[in-house]
Amino acid sequence: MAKIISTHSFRGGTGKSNTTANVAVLVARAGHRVGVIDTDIQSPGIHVIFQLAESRVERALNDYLWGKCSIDKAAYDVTEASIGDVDPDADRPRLFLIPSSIDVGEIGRILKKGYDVGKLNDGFQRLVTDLRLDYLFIDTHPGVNEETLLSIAISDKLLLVMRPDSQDFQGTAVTAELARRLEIPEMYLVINKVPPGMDTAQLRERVEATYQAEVVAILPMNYEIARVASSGIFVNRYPEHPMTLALKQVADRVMS
Amino acid sequence: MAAPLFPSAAKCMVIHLLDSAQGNTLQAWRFSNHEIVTIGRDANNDIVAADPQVSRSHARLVQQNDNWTLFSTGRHGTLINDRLVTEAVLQPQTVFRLGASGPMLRFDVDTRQPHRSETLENIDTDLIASLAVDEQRKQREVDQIAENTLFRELQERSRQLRKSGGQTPESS
Repeated sequence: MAKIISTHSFRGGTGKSNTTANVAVLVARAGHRVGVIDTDIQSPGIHVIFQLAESRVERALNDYLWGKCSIDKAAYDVTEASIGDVDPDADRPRLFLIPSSIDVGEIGRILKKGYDVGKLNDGFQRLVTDLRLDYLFIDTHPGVNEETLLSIAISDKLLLVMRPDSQDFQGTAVTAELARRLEIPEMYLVINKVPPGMDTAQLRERVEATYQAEVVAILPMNYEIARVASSGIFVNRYPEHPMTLALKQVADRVMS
Repeated sequence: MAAPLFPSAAKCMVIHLLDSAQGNTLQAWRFSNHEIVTIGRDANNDIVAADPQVSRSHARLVQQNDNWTLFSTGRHGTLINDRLVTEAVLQPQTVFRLGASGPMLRFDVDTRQPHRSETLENIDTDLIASLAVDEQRKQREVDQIAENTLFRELQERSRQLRKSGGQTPESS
């Protein structure tokens, strides 16, 4: 049975999409069929990390939400770009990306008119079935809104990505409490952009005590990922980097 | 002999690693009482930059007559204002790049007196202690959302989903 994983952060700029993309690649590499859907419709971006050229995107999640196409028509096989040399006929690994439109008019339309969140839920279901997914990652919009809550409500696991600062600390606490009330079965914390030299053991202890949830990775402030962020998958480029090893821990927890 | 550019601060130097798109500081290294600071890919350098554009031993910053001079030794060179340099006296705020598309660094000075004995002082040790949740505020915000009809519907849907063993429910 497919597992649905939502990644969420209270604010933008936490590295949520980068974490999602890299963990999804690691899970796919382990021999799975993985889907990644960008539900951050207001500020899409994960397609850039997967190097999915905008010219290749004929249909996006927005088209599905407006009833212009079925959800599978907005799914792009990015296996070769994100994993490498895989037999095109191989059933596994496979990685699919469902991008949101980067068209400014489309984004404006969503902001103005909204969309049927129930249809989004149907789309998740169809993706799992039609693409025969083992895992579906939902890259959510930062903050708490209807779509975020729906994603959490239907997820098996929730990854909360946060930075060690006061604003994230407070906002993440709200999200974590809402997730509990939605009876999320498993919730993990990823602390990202930790300044060099910070006592990570003390940080872990404080965060776990505050949220009563496991910190599955502490990722340092990392300039390489900032550099690679707009042009590829970090774990591919730096397979032995400590950051990659930490992201593998997240992938292991997703697959456990 | 040239007069020192910044005599009171010559021994406290800061190197910022910059986000190449925004120019924001991603990381900073502060050096007190150093006469030479080395930059390169090798772990033995004072500033380690694991990037394909960076040589094992890419550059040396040497304090000379209270000024800091950059000596480029890397295969891909060091650029200031898009020009390759082999040697350059650094002014405060000088930005240099390791290789044509490698990491960008900014040289700066700090006139504050060092308050600790360590040479690397880029750590806010009080940060963890300041991380706290305002429980009353959290509860207020959670209740506001949880009292909404939509949230209650989602709660119900979530309960059904968990009971059914994880089958994603069709939307209502």
